[in-house]
Amino acid sequence: MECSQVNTHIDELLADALGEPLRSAVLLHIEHCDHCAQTLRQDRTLRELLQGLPLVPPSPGFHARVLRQASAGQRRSRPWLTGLALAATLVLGVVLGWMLAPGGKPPVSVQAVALLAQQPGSVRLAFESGHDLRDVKLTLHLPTSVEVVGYPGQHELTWRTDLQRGRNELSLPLVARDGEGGLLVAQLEHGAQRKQFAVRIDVDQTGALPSKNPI
Amino acid sequence: MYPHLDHLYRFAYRMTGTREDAEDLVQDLLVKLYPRQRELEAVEQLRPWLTRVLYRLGVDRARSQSRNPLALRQDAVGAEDSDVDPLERLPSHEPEPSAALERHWTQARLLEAMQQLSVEHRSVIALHMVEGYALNELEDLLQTPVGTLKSRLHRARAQLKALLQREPNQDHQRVNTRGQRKWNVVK
Ligand SMILES: [Zn+2]
Repeated sequence: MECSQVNTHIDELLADALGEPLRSAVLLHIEHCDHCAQTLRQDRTLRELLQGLPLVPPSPGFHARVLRQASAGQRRSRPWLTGLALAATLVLGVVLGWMLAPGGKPPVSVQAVALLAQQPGSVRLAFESGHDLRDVKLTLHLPTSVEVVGYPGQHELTWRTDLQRGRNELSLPLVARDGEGGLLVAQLEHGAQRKQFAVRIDVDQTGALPSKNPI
Repeated sequence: MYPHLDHLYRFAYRMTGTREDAEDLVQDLLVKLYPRQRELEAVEQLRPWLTRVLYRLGVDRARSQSRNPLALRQDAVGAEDSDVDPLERLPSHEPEPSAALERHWTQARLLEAMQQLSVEHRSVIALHMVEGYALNELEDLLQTPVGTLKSRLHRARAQLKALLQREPNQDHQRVNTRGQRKWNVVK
């Protein structure tokens, strides 16, 4: 039996769904093939990790809230913009307009959000801008215990973008490592103008996942 | 719809991978369907019907979010059924002789790796392998042929293994998107 054939049967083998004589043939091959033995080991580990993944329950009051909003919110689905959704979904309203559009409102930005330790969460930043703005530099400074998912070990992320007049939204996939959280600072720079916004990130350690492979 | 909320949340959580996004998705669905309650009363199998609409809505939302130029996701990972093998896009690894290769594989890292998959890949692997839906059930709920689901499952698994295989905290990604990203405006 070839490795490529064995590979197509590993899933069934792990699911205990492989009949004889195929099963014996696959096992015999694996016994003599380091490569396939490694694939089997990894697939088994992945399978066991997947099967043990927790379900994070909805936040308290979710059922009542979601039904209330459905009945009240006859307007089209705009969860980002409704007050309750803002609270429920960790949307951070950051008002930029006052700085960029003279006469605008003052900022009402600093809030705290909670992340469950080691569970990816979605934190949203929303910026109001009075104008279309080209080439705005956005820098995020993250607390040492917090990372953007997919950017491990990076605690400062900088990129350039354009802001459009009105509301500009960024959904940020964050994950908190062990530790206490701290301040996430978003800095916007446009020409000579600069504005920083701080958001406190609290890390909820209850229900933290084990940091060691249980297998 | 109340009796279906737990089911819908659970399904949405597996699709999205975060509580916040799952709650948003269910809320979106309810706001959308509330004015159509009469119609819903006529639906015979309400739960699978709601689940199909939820999935469609979740895929649409994820696509519009990924079009948001600010989405800091790595476009390379989780591209929908692309012909390029995801492993080719990831840093190559010297084969390790030791059996301790998986010592860094943890649930916490797996959850993060899942967040780097496309919504279609994450959905099929989570619903099939975590929630235990059979592929022919998912064919109906996700309105996707079994063959496509199988290939997504295969790719999702390969992507997860490749992501888990990275050394923890290894710095592989750079954010350098000058001139390429714009903000989305929700009016
Ligand atoms: Zn082999």
